[in-house]
Amino acid sequence: MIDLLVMLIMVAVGGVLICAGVFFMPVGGAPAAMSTAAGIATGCEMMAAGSGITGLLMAAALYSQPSYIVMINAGISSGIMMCVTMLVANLIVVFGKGVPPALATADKDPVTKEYVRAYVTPGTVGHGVPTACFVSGFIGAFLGGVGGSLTFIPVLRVALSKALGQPIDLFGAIEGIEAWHNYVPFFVLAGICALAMYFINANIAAYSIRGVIEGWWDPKFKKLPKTALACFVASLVFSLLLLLLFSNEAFVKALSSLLQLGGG
Amino acid sequence: MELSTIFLVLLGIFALIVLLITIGGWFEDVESDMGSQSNPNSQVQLAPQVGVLHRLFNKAIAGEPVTHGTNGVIGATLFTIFWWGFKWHPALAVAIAAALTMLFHMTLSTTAHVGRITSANIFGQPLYYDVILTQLPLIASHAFVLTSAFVAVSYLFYNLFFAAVDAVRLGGYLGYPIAIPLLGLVLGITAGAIGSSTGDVHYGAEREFQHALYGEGIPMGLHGHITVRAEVGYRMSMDVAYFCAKYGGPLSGFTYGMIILLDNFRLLAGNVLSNVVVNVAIGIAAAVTLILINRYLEVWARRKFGPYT
Repeated sequence: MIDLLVMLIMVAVGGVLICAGVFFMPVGGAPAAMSTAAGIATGCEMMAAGSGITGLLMAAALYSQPSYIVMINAGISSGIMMCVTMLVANLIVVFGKGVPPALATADKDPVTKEYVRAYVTPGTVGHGVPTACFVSGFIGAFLGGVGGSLTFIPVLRVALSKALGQPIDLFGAIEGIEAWHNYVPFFVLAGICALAMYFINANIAAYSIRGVIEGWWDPKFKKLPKTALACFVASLVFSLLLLLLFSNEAFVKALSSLLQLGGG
Repeated sequence: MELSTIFLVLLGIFALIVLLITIGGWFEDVESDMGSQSNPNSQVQLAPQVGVLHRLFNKAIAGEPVTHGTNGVIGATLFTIFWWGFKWHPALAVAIAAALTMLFHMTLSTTAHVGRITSANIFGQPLYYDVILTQLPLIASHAFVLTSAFVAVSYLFYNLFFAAVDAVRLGGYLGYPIAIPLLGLVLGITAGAIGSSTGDVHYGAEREFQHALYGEGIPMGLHGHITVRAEVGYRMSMDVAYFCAKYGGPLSGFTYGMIILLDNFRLLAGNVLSNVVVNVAIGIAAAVTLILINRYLEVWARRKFGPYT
């Protein structure tokens, strides 16, 4: 029972982290694809899910490690995905369109303290991914990856412990379990729940961002506390559904019958 | 078998995965440019409203990640049925599954294009029959290549996790214990997210506005006034693909390949040395290097191009 309550809190906190991550990401949306706004040329949900998935895959590969190691590694995986994407987006902006990266919501770059207003094309609100957006994007993707693994880890471990009928530590290393074909449905369950969390929380954050945000210096960033509260409540509802699912005897029976299949 | 030989086999499979992912990412971007599927589609949709009539294919009724996630999950599910259920050879199963997914994708493209264009009919935009007939086979062939690449990688990742060579479990080094359909879905979603955030900038900012000055972002006043004339005659979507396949597409593939390479390399290195600190150290080093490269690129571009004022 304690495990279920801890899972409830972990999932809700994960939702808040994903929401904060989306606020940090330099989301440019459609205008960025035309070099009319600074940031990455895609929407919040897709950027959050795209970077989060890399972290989820890493979390699945390291499933038996202690939780904090899984979280840090998932966060770094998401961060690397974001960094490579932003670097190549800049390569295309610089060599494909011939414009230097520049942001428009501040006169000076908040990280390098350079005066960047002069590089912004008149009629646009910046283009490319300047250094401050890049750093902000890395932080955002890291938070998003940690948030996603905060859903993945407890769901996987609670499902496994329910099916096996033995307690599994939610934070420590898993010992004595070697994943085989019949364990795959548990990873799928945890993966789909974490993927759903990305879409739910990124969507709520997208309402506050309304298309474009550059980073932590953007005026829209001030909406983070209220949006984070909304995400906390939404994630809590989601995790309550998970709690109901795991309290259902028929579901637990179905899970443990999966383990009897053997697979191969 | 010696341990070093097993390690070489592992590296070979790893290289194959990165190659397949790179090809998949490349074709994904070119396919989306040909169908104006991602963010720049807003300009194709806006063009008739500002009086610019065009002959471009416009199948944007869903974002790129969702479409290719759907392609990936359909292909991977069919593959699982053929390979696991019917016990077909994996290579045959990949080809047949990708071919069936291609049919689905062609249906989606046709209905999406017809719906999108007829909705702009009130502004005088005609629906050209030959545009559908000439672009559809190209879109289908690109969808075939990218679906088969992602399904093959899903198969490799899944099987690698459970494979053993001389009682050495390869799953300890590479691969994910995730079912093939879900792997197809997540690989497709990631491909779409990468394609729309990197390669589509080349299509949206440069190819769609080729009459605008090179070396400037596109001002908002120019939105909707896309280039409709090609080198010869009116521009079709295949002219767009011809242009974007040279720079935007390869770089999208490079991005996806690079991500899989860096991420799995640090997993592999950490597992070989059986030390998780190595994982984290390689990851942080890679991120810092990327930030520094970006800073160099930014400074170089500002020096080279100069300020506007």
